[in-house]
Amino acid sequence: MEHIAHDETSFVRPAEVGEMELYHAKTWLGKYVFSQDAKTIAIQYAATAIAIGMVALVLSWFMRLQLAWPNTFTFIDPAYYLQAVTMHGMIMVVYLLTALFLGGFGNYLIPLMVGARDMVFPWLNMISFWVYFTAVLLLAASFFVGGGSTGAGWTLYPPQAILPGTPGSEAGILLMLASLAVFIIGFTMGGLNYVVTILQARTRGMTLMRMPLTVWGIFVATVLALFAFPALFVSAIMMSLDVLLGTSFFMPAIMTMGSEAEHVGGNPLLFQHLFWFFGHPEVYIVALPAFGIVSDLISIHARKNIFGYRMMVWAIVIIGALSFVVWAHHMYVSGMNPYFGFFFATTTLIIAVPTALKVYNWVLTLWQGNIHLTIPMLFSIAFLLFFINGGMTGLFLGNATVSMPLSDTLFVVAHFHMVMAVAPVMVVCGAIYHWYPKITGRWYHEGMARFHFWVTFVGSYLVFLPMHYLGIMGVPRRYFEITGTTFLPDSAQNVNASITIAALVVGVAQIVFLYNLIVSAFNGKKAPGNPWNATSLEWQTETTPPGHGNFGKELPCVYRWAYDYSVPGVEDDFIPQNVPPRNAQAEGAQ
Amino acid sequence: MSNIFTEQPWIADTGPIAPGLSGAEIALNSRRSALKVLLSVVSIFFMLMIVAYGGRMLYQDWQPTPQISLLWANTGLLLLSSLCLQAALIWARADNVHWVRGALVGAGVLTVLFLAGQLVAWQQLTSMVLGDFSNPSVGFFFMITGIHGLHMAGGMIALVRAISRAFGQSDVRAMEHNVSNCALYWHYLLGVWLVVFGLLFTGNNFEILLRICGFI
Repeated sequence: MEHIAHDETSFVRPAEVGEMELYHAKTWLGKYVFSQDAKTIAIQYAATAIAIGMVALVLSWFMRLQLAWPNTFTFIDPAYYLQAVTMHGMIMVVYLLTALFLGGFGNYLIPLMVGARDMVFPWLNMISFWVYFTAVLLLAASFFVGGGSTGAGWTLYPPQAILPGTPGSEAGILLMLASLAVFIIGFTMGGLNYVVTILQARTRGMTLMRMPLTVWGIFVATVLALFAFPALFVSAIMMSLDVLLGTSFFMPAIMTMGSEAEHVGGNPLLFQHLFWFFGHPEVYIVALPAFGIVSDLISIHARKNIFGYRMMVWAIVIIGALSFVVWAHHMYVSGMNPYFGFFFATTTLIIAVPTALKVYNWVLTLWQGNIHLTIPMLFSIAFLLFFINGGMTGLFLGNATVSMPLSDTLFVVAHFHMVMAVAPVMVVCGAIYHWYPKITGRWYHEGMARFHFWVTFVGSYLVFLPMHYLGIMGVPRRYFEITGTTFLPDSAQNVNASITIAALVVGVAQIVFLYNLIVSAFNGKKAPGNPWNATSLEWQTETTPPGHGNFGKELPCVYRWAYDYSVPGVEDDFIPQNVPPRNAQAEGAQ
Repeated sequence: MSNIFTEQPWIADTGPIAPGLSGAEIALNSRRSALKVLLSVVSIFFMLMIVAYGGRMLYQDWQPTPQISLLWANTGLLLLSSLCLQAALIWARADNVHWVRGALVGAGVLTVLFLAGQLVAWQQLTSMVLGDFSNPSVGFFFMITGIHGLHMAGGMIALVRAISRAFGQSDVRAMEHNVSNCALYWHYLLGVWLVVFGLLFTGNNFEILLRICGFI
């Protein structure tokens, strides 16, 4: 065993600059409502995102009720069904998952994990949340306007989206577009904060390559979002102008309701290109933070360093870069030059390489690890099982020739729910259970959490696995009802009914989850500061929950990466990032 | 010093923490960094609009926007306002407070004139097309100039703050950061305007645009 002695005073140079000045709220409103503390803002983001997400969950129940027992529920007519499909999709992808991962986890974890007092622009951070909140209100308002919310599908394709006959083609679509534009403005404010904080406010010793993978995932996802959202912003503006001013960006000369529309010469395909230039990176905006977080959860709860850290970092970066050159694989059926299709199929399949590397590394981290089947670990394993399944079907859909017949069937719905809906949601749940003791200082009810896990895991599989078979049979997506077809056996309807029952049960389990979170925050058993024996800085705070300014008088100094678990020769099976080698050595390290 | 390509993070530090990791990075101006990130985002934004414009030009029914000569004068105003800010920055570095204030006010006035000129151009185009916005090139004109104008108007908020600080204090060093950020923003938006104006609105520069977009 090699011994290297260190004098801590010469080891750590004094900071070259003073610390950032923290804003201290003087009023209750300033502390809890218009708070500039990233942790409070994180909770505001998370609460808003989960609240609107619950609305989207209920909308999915309505869809499923109609599909399982067509025309039994009179309040679900075709227009209502399409509105539910649209709002469910948009809310879940943008307003829940994006906001929760970046606004929620990003705000809470970035400053704590990189050793900063707060975000570099706390005021802008606060504004960012309130702009997001306004976007959610605008979106929710569309439920109540004349004609209701838009029913154009979450992709909002023109000309259908703004033509009479499509549900919500009056105020609904405009509110949706306005809400998206406002969301993007709010996100840009937040995104600037996340990026600059990670690049410039890291504590001493926290090199980029010592950052936990959670921060890497959120960082790259934020960069993706900053560069991808402008495409959605541009298309929202253009479509709004088509509606309001009669411009023809996307609207071709078209007959509608028996008469000629005022538009001439617009190009609907242009919208599709713009939308998917945003839409595909959006998949990774959701997935990359999940990749990062799950890497940390697996490592911590398997008490083993993450396998291939550098490979994991570069895989995140490469996946992020590639995600900008695959967008047209969503448009194979829109028609394109075959060489174009070949290019996009190739880039799509290339993405599978770094993604597969990540999966191997997660599995290899688990391999011979000291696996603790805690709730976060259970959700992490569930993530793997969903992600691998969804990733494999992605190989089918990435190929133009295979994708064509499967496009617009439930196979696609099953694929993307597996890979970018349920898989990231598994990580969200695992992450909430993991950081809950730090955020609240209390434990959740273990029994309820286990109930929540098993019902969600098994139930979600029962929802989405059979959907692949329905898709291969040819059951189309977005259809109000599929009865009366000759090519589908009666059993297809039975499968649909079983999926609905599973979906309803999974939904109820989420209510148990929320109940557990809320009640335990007040009545849960007190949790220690570092209950998982984790190494990253958020677990080394002086108080739990961390106070304003995150750390004590001195910011921590970082000497090592975040994955020193089960280091040979060390008594404890973890060494926190802020423990200098000399101290670790005293316990037997190196 | 190790970097993200060579660093082996699984090896704990065995020597003094490198200077680059001991707080120097925090000393960088975070507002300046945020501005650079923002300008990258805005670049993508305008690039997408230009590419969309170019893509639409490919169609045979393309009708270019009627010429508006006022845009040349507006371009001159924007150029002058950008020059004023550059002069303000040079004078700030030379500790010449009086001239800094004058140049900042000059830049503000010229920018307001530019924005007013753009509104007049909008009116002119509206009357030229008799209120019919269905021609895609006309729609693009309004959208691109409108969004550029909104960015200029947003920049005015920062410029007004810089002006009020310049008049409220005599410490030139303190105002240099603000002036420098405003100058960067103005130069950038001048650049965007020159590209947009040159490519899209000075006649039918069809081929240049298509070449840039990679269509021919």
